[in-house]
Amino acid sequence: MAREELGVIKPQLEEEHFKPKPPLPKDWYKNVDWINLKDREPDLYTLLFDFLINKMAPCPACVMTTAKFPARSILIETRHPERGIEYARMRISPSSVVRGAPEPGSMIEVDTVLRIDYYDLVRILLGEIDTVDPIEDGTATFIGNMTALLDLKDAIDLAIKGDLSAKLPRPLMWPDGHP
Amino acid sequence: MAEDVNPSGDAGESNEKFFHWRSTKIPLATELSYRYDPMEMKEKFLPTEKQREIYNSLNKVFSDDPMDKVNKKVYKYGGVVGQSRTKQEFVEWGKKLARERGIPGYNREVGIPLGQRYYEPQLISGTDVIVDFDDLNLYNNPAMQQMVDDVKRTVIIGLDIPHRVLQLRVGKEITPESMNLYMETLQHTLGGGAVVQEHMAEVHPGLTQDAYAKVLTGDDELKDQFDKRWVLDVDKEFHPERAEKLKKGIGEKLYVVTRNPTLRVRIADGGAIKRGAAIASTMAFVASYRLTGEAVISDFAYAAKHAQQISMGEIMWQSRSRAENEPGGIPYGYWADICTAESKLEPKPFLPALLEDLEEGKRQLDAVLEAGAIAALALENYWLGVYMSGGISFTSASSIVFTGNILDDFVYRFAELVNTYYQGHERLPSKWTTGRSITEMANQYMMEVYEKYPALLEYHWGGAHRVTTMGIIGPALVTITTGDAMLGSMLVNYAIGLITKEGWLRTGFSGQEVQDHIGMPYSCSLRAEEGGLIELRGLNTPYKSYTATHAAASVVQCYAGMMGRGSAWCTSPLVKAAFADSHLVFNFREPRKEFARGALREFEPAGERDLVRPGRR
Amino acid sequence: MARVRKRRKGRKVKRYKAQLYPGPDEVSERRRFVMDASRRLKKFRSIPDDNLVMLLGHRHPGELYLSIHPPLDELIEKYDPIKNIVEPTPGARAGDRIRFILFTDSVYYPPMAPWLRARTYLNRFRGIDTVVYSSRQLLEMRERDLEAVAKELIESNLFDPGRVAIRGLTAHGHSLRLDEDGLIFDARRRYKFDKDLGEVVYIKNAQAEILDMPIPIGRPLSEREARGQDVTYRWDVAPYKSRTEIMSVIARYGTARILGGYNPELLNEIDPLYCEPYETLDKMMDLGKSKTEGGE
Repeated sequence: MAREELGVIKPQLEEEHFKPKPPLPKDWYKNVDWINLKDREPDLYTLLFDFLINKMAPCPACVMTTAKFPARSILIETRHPERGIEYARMRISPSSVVRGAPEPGSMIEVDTVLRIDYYDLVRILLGEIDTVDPIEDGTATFIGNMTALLDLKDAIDLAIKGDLSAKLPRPLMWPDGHP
Repeated sequence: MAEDVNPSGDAGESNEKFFHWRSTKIPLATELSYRYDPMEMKEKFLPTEKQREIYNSLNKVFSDDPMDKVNKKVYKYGGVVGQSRTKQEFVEWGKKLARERGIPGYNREVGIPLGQRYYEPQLISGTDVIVDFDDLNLYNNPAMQQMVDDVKRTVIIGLDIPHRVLQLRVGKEITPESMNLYMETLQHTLGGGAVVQEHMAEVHPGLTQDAYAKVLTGDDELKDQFDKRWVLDVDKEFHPERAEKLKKGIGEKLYVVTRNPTLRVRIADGGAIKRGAAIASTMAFVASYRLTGEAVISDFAYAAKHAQQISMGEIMWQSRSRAENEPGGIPYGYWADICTAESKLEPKPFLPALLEDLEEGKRQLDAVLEAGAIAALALENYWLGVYMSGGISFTSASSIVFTGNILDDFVYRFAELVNTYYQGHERLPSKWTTGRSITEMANQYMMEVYEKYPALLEYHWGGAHRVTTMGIIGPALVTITTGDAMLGSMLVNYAIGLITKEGWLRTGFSGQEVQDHIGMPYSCSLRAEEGGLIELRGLNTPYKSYTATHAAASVVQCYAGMMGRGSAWCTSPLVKAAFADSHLVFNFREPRKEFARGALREFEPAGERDLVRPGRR
Repeated sequence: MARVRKRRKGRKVKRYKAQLYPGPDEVSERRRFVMDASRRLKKFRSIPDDNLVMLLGHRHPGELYLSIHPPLDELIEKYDPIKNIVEPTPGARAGDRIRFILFTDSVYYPPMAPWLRARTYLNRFRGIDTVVYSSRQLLEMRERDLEAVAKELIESNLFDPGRVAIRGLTAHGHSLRLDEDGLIFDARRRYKFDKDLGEVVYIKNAQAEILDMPIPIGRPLSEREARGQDVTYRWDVAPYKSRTEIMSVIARYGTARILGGYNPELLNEIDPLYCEPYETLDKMMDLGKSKTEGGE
């Protein structure tokens, strides 16, 4: 039978997502106003910490909205071509950033583990791509609570755009404040 | 008796310190300082739950708050006979039987008293029809029987090879007139009319009024040469774009879709249908082309009967030993084609369709659930419940797929989620990690819904019911967004045997225990499966083991994959076109509505013997 | 083991410690606790032996055990080294019949659940057979062994008179709403809540035969207490979604099963953390390299 009925394996629109994105400029961090130390490329912890202090905390919309969420702890694991794997935990409600993954035996369990490329994360924090895009493209993975991930997405979106219109309305299945 | 301290290892001791303390709150081991008690947060999100279809339909079915864990009226409902009109009818019939024939039959006094708990009526999904549970039993519902009968009595025969043999070997000319004469004769022979011998007893045409044949081709010119009365017009039955794709798939070939009378299925079996179609077609050829008894007739008989004959189902292996066209031998891909709920929808891949219009996406998901209803009924209820188990059918195992708007609610919520967060995507990559996380998300969500709605847990009262739901929905969502049925079928067992099992520590019933393990015969494995496509497999695949509640999920994967790719058919364009026929007794476009009609006793089945009963002349 | 310690004076012998269950949260810890044979169960209630025998309904109190073969000591059997290695249980030694006990666990904060029962029984007891259902769990043993084990199970924290029921037949009802006293539904009405006594009282035995006298079996746990004993993940006890450790482990199982199905060597190519083949991960690393200018 006609073979085209199997459908197109990679539709055109989707190809755009799979294409390698244009590289970030070499000194990208020097032009980002919310990064404090500009002498070297920030590691994961510094990056998240600076984002929290300089973008999330001063944004009233972000603070007001995230206060409605349950306490969240999201372990972010990034891969960097030179520094390799880095871990940091992003906590929401109340917000903070913790360096490293939970120690074995510490009896700490995070809500979600997000595994993502370092530069994809940078792009997310710079507002170039959506938080969930790398997951939907299959370049990032997560294990655990997706609601926590949506909380993180809302927090990042609000911090970047600065007003409440940046927050997408939650679907009926997981309203704001759902554990 | 004091609790023993774990003697071996330091980790155990720290466990003791940390865990076995009691407080007003239950500790949760997320970040230590980030504990919270979900019970205290319920006010934030539980009011939202009341806006959902699931809340409303459960409220309607149980006439009670579905989120209440305690049922104070339990044991006080006064028995099943007081609760159900159908059961009252059964009791009256039981008494009548005992009086009239002298041997007692149905007797509600033996066995365990039914109806100590609420005997809930069934709301058919996608309709407003509420029926009694007994009305969904296969034996009581003629629509359900007719659905499988309609599949069993269908055989597709290719006419190209017989025509070629007629032209080259017999020297006959094939003209529009001769082809139409053949079709007219075929309508006569299929119903049991004689054409060759002059002294024959024939079948009362009233008994076989559902027997007919229609030609099917992808070539418009060829189609126009036939009398419209026996043309299966793809253009009429499908959305124009789907029709184009289907016609391209069928090509310039000529087929005839034969429907044997339902009475033949009732008298014999699927194997008789295959032969019935073959002989009716051959006799029609013999009569319409005036063939004689020369040697070439044997070659022609093969060409007309078997060379291009497409049965719905394969013959089954020895221990199950059924002939062709029986439900167990029909591949999953064919079942997906047999459901034509999508026939009037635009053939657009699911994700772009959904992102453009949420309602269109929901319609596509509805179609997937219609396919689920057909699959659950035919495979779980009919094949495993009647043929294989010898029982009175697994009514509840299949009815949960199409009652209560439960699965509808699950998929609609997912559609809303995708519509919000997946903008700008056309197809998700068919990668294991992507599929795994979507299935995990969907299953965790469904488990949560079950926990929030005690009435839903009571509605799906057996582990098998919940396992069916989990096995169908989570993987189907992956399949429909990636268009990859194989990925979905890999996830079916993962969803049941790992996600559900580890969360609740319970899965299905005992016969199903084997399949709740992650084992070779139950779950998908890349090395084995890359050669055995899910669409071409069926319940008789020898290296697979199937029990009830796992089979429907595979059909749903095939169908969802088709919708995800925006294809017009799943496995065979012929089968897809054959079951969009408006002359079929059962409407394969709206199976759930048909089941409801059957339950309401409004469905008129075929194959009845009323005409030859006493006083019915 | 004691002899080994003596020989190696002053040196600790490192014993193998099974990793019974993943997850650092309290529910996982409860699962580990019940599965760990080295940890004694907590005693919550006590039930006299005769009452237990009546409740099981396999024999009358004081009646001799029926046997299906002569005691092992009197049997002359072919030589089999395994018989010398494995010590028979008392029931097997005496030649008892095989009898069963069946527990039905409610879905509402149960202290035990079917799959955990299977794992617990296999870890803790000898000479058993067990089958997992969605609601109930069969435990089959030699009769006198069964009585000892049943006593231990019923008296321990693994039993909640309100949410776990002892049933021989008509075992369904696990996912039904609770009755007005908070008890699990039973179509045979084997038990009721005695308001004066404050305890659950069995008026029929496990086979639903009416008992001569009611047998009290203890106080049902309140909802808050039951939540503290729950071994299943629920949205209101411990949300299953947030159990990243369990999710990682099962993802590893699933991945290994799918990718390494008929070729176990493939397992070495899967990263246990990512649950993806290393090859894919390397590609991701390569992609990352080209993400800044001059990153090569």
